[in-house]
Order: sequence, then structure tokens, then C-alpha cells
Amino acid sequence: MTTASSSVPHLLSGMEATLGTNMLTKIQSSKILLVGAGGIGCELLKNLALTGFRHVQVIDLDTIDVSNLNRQLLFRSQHVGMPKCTVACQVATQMVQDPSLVSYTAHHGNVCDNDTFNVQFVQQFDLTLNALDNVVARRRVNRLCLAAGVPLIEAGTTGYLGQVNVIDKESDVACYECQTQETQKVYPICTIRSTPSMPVHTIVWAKELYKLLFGDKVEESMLFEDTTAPDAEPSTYMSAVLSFRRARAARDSDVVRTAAGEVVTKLFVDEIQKQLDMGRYKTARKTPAVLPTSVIVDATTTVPPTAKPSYRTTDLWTPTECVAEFIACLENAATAATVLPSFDKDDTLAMRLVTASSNLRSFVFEIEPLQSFYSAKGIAGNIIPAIATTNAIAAGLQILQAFQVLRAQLETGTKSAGKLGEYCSYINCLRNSTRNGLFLTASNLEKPNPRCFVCRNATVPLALNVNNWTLQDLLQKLIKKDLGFEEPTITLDGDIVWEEGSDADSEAFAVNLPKLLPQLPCGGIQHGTVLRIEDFSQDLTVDVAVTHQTVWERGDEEDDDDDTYQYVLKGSKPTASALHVPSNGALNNGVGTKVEEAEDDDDIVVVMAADAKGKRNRETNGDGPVNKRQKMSILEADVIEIS
Amino acid sequence: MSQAKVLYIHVTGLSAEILKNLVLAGIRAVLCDPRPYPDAVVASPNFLLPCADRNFTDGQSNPKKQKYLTVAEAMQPVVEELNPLLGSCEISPTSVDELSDKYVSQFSIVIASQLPKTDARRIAKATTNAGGKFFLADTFGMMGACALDLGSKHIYRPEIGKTLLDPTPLRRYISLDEVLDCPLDHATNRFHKTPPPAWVQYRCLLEYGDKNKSWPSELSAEVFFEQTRSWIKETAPSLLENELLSETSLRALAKVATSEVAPVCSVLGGIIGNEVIKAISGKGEPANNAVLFDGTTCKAWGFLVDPL
Ligand SMILES: [Zn+2]
Repeated sequence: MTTASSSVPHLLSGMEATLGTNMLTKIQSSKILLVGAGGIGCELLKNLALTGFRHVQVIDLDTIDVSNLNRQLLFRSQHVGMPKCTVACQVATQMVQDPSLVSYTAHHGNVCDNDTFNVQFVQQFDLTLNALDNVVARRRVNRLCLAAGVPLIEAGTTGYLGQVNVIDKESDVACYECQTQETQKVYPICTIRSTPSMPVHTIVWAKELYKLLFGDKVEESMLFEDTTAPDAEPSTYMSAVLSFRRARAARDSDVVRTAAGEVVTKLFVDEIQKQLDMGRYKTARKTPAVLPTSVIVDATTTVPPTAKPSYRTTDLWTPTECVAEFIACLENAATAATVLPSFDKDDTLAMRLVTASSNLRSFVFEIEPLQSFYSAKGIAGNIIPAIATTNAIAAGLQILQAFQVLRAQLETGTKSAGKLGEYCSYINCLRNSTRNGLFLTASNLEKPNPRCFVCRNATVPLALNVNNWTLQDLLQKLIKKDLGFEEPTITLDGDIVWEEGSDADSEAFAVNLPKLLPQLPCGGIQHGTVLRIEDFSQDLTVDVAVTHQTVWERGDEEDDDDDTYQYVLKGSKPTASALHVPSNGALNNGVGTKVEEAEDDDDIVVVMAADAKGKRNRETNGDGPVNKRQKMSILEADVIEIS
Repeated sequence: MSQAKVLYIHVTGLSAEILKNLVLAGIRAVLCDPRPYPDAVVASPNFLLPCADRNFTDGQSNPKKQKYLTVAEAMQPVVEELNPLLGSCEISPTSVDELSDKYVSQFSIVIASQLPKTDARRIAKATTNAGGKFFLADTFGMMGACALDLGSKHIYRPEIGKTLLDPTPLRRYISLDEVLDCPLDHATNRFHKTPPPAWVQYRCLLEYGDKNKSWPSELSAEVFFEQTRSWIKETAPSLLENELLSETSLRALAKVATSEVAPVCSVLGGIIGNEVIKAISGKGEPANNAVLFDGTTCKAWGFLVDPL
């Protein structure tokens, strides 16, 4: 196990010369937990293997999709359908000099599964690396690591922007939940391909459809299905797509017209029917319905909306109009001098096609609201693909911070000795450099937010109308969704009114669920009540101080006229957990509902859409503040990311 | 973008990272690395070359057993596998010193690592004269540096948020020749009152490499120290007291001169990947004319080496 200088493998001689024998030995003996085996996770695992780490366990829920291949460096076509974590561990093992010395273990599962991945599980590690794309799992790992006393290195990327942060209970530094959290904004590819539930999903799909129809390489589209391979599954729509492409190339308008109609039928009728027949939506919340034949038939006698004299870009199109517009787009493309091979939101033909086809898909999946040309353009312009280089940078920085954590462990003989603030940095990664030239800024780790209920045991103030809420409402809408409890036990005045989880007697308390808050036992929840919520799975206890409130100020964007479930948590209304895209197209002002004030000098009030770049504007360490222009570009740039 | 071709001269741990980023982004790679395989890459964290094939145990390879003779040949199939949509990956027909100006002129981008300064100057000139961009980049221990020449005619569209502004030329253009000739004590600006450490170290290594046709190592630390001190005395005497140029620091640098640390490669390779994409697309303000990275502090910055 020990590594004498002479026996250091060649591959690691650079590591040894740079970091020293003691550090290399520490690296080789450390136990690392890696959560996530997607874009960042693969980069991390590669770096762990190349720098001498021998004990790594990887948790990931996903399997490899065809569309992952072009973007993720460890996966090849023969891996499609296999768990990402398993393949990643196998491939990384081949990168080391002596595979017999390493154990890279894959756990194909959900990190939120408390039976397997609990505090005891996390305690066995020296360090956790997060490579996650959603808030729920990040929150979960944050709490597990705090409870287990294991340092955590977080990373997040949005397009070209990224950040890396180190979290440690003992070191008096901020935890993941000390900061405002981003809304979910990274969508897995299967959501786009099979289970859309938001307008943005169908617009991403429509952009891929554009690529499929007009791209230089048809196989670069996420919707491409290879039908030529010997064991290929039959595709409902590829032959129609290919015959359209051929007819367009040959400028044969008659065939184009026929093929265009075929494409509509195949995509919005046959493909949906195929998915239904395969039982894909058996357990789904919503089941799609194929586009009615009458819609397609009527379209043949309908004027495409953009050809009407009264046309305005803010009009909403009917499904029939969408079909007519879609077919008109394909016909126009056959006679146009040039058609862009890749989608551009400023290209009218591209946006007409995307508006029409995304609305048809939304119609089929009953997704609301439908989008006008104008609002679809706003959304489409805010969709940015995951950028592989940013993942590489973030993962590299996480490993460099991991070296710092391990050095602290080596020098103090503990997991952190509360000193990570002295060893580690918070790092921001930028596309365009700051005024003084920085592409990566490093600053001190932030101090904890004294109002953080996760790491500071702060009491959470909650204002609501107690007469409108049942215990069930409180549990689902608030305690689980917003506060992230998984197995809450609720006590009022020392008496349990609800418990769940292993060994819990939920049935005994089920009688309380439909009761309005004031009618609960022990005097109920009234103005001034403090209720205690505990979650043993996360080793978390929170006191919630209730204020009864019946009158609410209404923001302009509230489309919900009903005050029944209004509430204010922690002094401000939490962001909707799903990205809400308004139909008025006022994108940068309408997405999300959280208003946050820039904390230093400037008076910019930014309406945050989704803030992976979220960390508010920070002073950089000794290099002066990030300048205002930089801040603007950080905050404006991105809304939605597709991984 | 899909028309662009990038020539990689010597595939190191750093250039393997850049190559991975660009190939996954759909940009075609051509390889020029006639160094013997696997001897030349035994200690390289180039994750694309499977370790099992590198024949580590006896320290020397047996040519008869090796499937590939050069690093380029070994890289070729893995690059093709990395992004099959790009088709076959070419290998340059000649060695580095025979790369003709005409051959080089076909590339949008040339990325070189562990390349002697003389070759770098020549190839940079040939590349930029034909409208291409040249990047010379290496990592050494926890540090990394890149000198780049975008050509005198480079124009780009600055970005503010998502808005692209009108095309503009570089505020100041300095060729790679001038960058590599710039006395070290001139490599300062208002944010760096003394020359940035990564740049100082990179220049020392490049100077030594040019004189000795190899990079320093722990074994040649003595020679490296002496040569570097006398070079500094001649060209930038005001830096003689600089801690980076002390005997201890220079010996330490010699020891890690060829040490490549994977995450350092990963971070700098990502930043350079972004810069290459900026250079090809002409969108976003590019780094001009150096990118520097310190893996200990985790800071990276663009820096203008300006003899004036
Ligand atoms: Zn906290």
C-alpha cells in the first residue's frame, strides 16, 4: 500500500515530482465519493484515475443514451443502454497503470435513496465530489456531507460559466443551501425525446427537428435514428425525413410537398402511437394523444398564419395553423436560395418551423401555454447547450481543490480540522475575462449565512393563512418540496403529529393529514406556533415559526388569482420549482419569480431566472471586484441548459 | 466551424485535453507527432492512450511487439473513435522540422506543445501568414502557459451578454516572434507589477529547450540553473533578485519541467479550447497574447506580453 519513491509508476512520476511523495501516498489511500457520472462526472473520474486515486465509489442513476456519445468522453456506441457509472468505472480503470491496485465501484442508483446512501454510508469517505445537475440531489448530498462531517466539493456549470466551491461543516464556511438556490434548469435528453412537460422541452425538440431536416449531418440531431445498422430498430419517421431531405436537395417541389405531409403524420401521429404502444407512458403523469387526423386534413385548406395580412408575431396559432405553417416552411425551404444548416433564432424560416412544430408537440402532450412566434423566439434564444469545455475546467478545478483538502487532512490528521477556509477557494470560471484579465477568479470561501436552517439551525419564519392549509398541504407543498425534507417527523409542543420513514408509524398519524392546521392536536398550528420538523435520514432539525396572514401583496406576474395557498417562507416567496415561461415573451423579466438585489456597490436589480451562475456578484480575492459589465454578462447570459 | 482543421504538433497531456474538447465540439484534428511510442508518452496523462498498451514494466518498448511506432499512429484510432462523425483522422506526412509552410497553411489552427522555440517561430509565421492562428502551450507541474498568435488581421465581435457588437481588430497585435523575444522584465502591466510567475517559468523553459534541444529535468537542474541565470543577466538583469529565479526555485522548476498534472491540463486545456473556438468563430473577445494558469491558487488570466 505504501509507495516508496522508487516504485512509483511512471504515469504518476509527474504527480510525485510536483506534489511530493507524502501527498501522492495520501491521494492513493484516500476514499472518494463521486456523485454523478455525466459530463462533469466523467471528467472527474478521468482526472482521479490519472492522478493516482485508487478508491472511488460512483453513484449515478442514468443509463447511456445515443445522444450522450458526442459529448461525454468515456462513452462509446457499444455502451448504449448500460449504466453510466458502471461504464465510467470500467473505462477509468483502464487508464491507470496497474488496474489491480484500484477499486472504482459503481452504484447504479439514486443518491436520494436513504436505505443505501445515508449518513453512515457517506462517513466512510474522506471527501465527496458532486457532479450533479439538479437541486434536489445537490441539497441531499449537502445535508448528508454536513451530517457525516465529510468535506464536499461542489461544481456547477451553465454554458460557458462555471463555479467550484468547497463545503465543510467544521470550517465555518457556507453550505450549498446558505445561498439562494437555482431553479432546476438542466433537462435530461430523455425528457426532450420522450417525456416533455414544459414549453421549453418542446422548443428544444423543435430545434433538434430543424437540425434533422436541414443540418449538414442528419446524424448530429438528437432525434436521428439510425436505421441502417443490422440490428437497428425500425424508425417511424426517419424515412419521411430522409425523403424530404433528398427532395429538397433535388428541388423537387411536388415530392417535397408529399414528404412534408408525411413528416407531420409520422412525427405527431405514428411516433406518438408507437410510444404509447410501447407502454412508455403507463406510469407517466400525463399521457400524450396523437394529433387528430382532422387537424392535418384541415391544414390543407388553411392559410399559414405568417402568410395572413393581419399576422402579428404575438399571435397564437391553432394546431391546424401550425400544421399549415410547418408544411409551408418545408416548401419554402425547397425553393429558398439558402437555408441555414443550423438553427438561428434570428432566421425567420427557422423560427417559423420551430414555433409550429414545438406547438404541435405541446398540443400532443397537453403542455401549456402554447407559444407565439415572438415568445418561442425568446425561449429558443435562451437555450444553451452544455459546453464540454466548461465541464472540463470545472472538473479540473474540483480535483485541484481536492488536493488542497487532502493536504489539509495530511497536515492536520483529521478530515478537515475546521481549516479548509485556509486551504481552499471559491472559483468562478468565465468566458470573457474580467477587466484585469482573469478567466478564473479565486476568492475566500464564503461565511455561512446565519439564517441558513440547514447548517446554522436557524428558525424558519413562515407566513400563511392557517385556515386554508391542511397538514397534507403543509407536508407536500412546503416541508418536502421547499425545505427538502424526505422523512419528516413533525412535533407540536413536544407531541408528534406526523412521522414517516423506516420504523415510523405513519398510519397512526394519517388521521391528521386532512385536518386544517388549527385543528391538529396539541392546540394545532396557530399564529405564533413554533413547530419542530426532524429528519433522521439527513440528521436535520428545523424549527418553523408560523405567522397567520390573510392579506397578500400581489406581484404583476402572478397569474394565480387564488390566495388559498399563498405563503412566504424565510421572508421571501420561494422560486417556483419548475421554470415558468410566461407567454408574453418578456423573458428576462418574467422567468422565475425571485428578485434579488446585487449586494455590493452597483444598483442593478436583477430578476434571476435560474442562477447557476447564481453566486451573487462577489469580490474577487485581491484582484479587485468583477466589473459591472462582467456582472451583467454573467447574469443575463443563460437561462436554460440542456445536458 | 465544421470546415476548420486543427493541427496538433506533439500530443501531450495538455494537447490531448484541447483535442478532446475540440473534437467533441466537431472540429477535425490532424496529428503531427512522430515521437516514438510508447516511450515518449510513458509519463503523460494522455487519457486517450490506453495505459495497458504503453508497456511500462521494462521501461523500454520492443518495436516488434508494438502495434504503433509513433505517438501520432497510436492516437489516430482513438481520435476517430472519439467523434466518428468527423471521419478519419489524418497524420501529417513529415516530421516537425520538415513541416513546410505550404502544408501548415491549410490549417485554421495549429496547437503545439513541447516545441523548440525556433520551430515555434517558423510555424507560427507560416500559419498566421495564411490566415491561421497559432497556439504554443505547455504545463509544468502546477503551472501552465500558452502564447498565442492570432495574426495581424484578426477581427472579432465583442460580446456584451448575448449581444454581438460590430467586428473590431485586436487592440494591440504582437507576433509570436516579438512575444518570445520580449525581455522578461518588460512582461508587466498595471495588474502585474512584476512578470507573472507562470510566464517567467515558461520563458525559462523555452530558452533552455532551444539551447539544449530538450527540456530540463532533475538531472540537468545544474545546467538549467546556470544557463538561466546567465540568460537573465544578459536580457533582464533587474529580475536577478526575483525569487522565481533563485537557485532553489529554478532547481524546483527543472524537476517538474516535464511533469504533467492531469487537472492542470484539464483546466488550461478547457480555457484554450474556448479560446480556439473564439478564434474560429470570431465571437467574443479573445485572450491576447498569452493565457496563464496557476493550479495552486486556481487563477487563470489572459496577459498581453508587450515589449513596449
Ligand atoms: Zn448553510
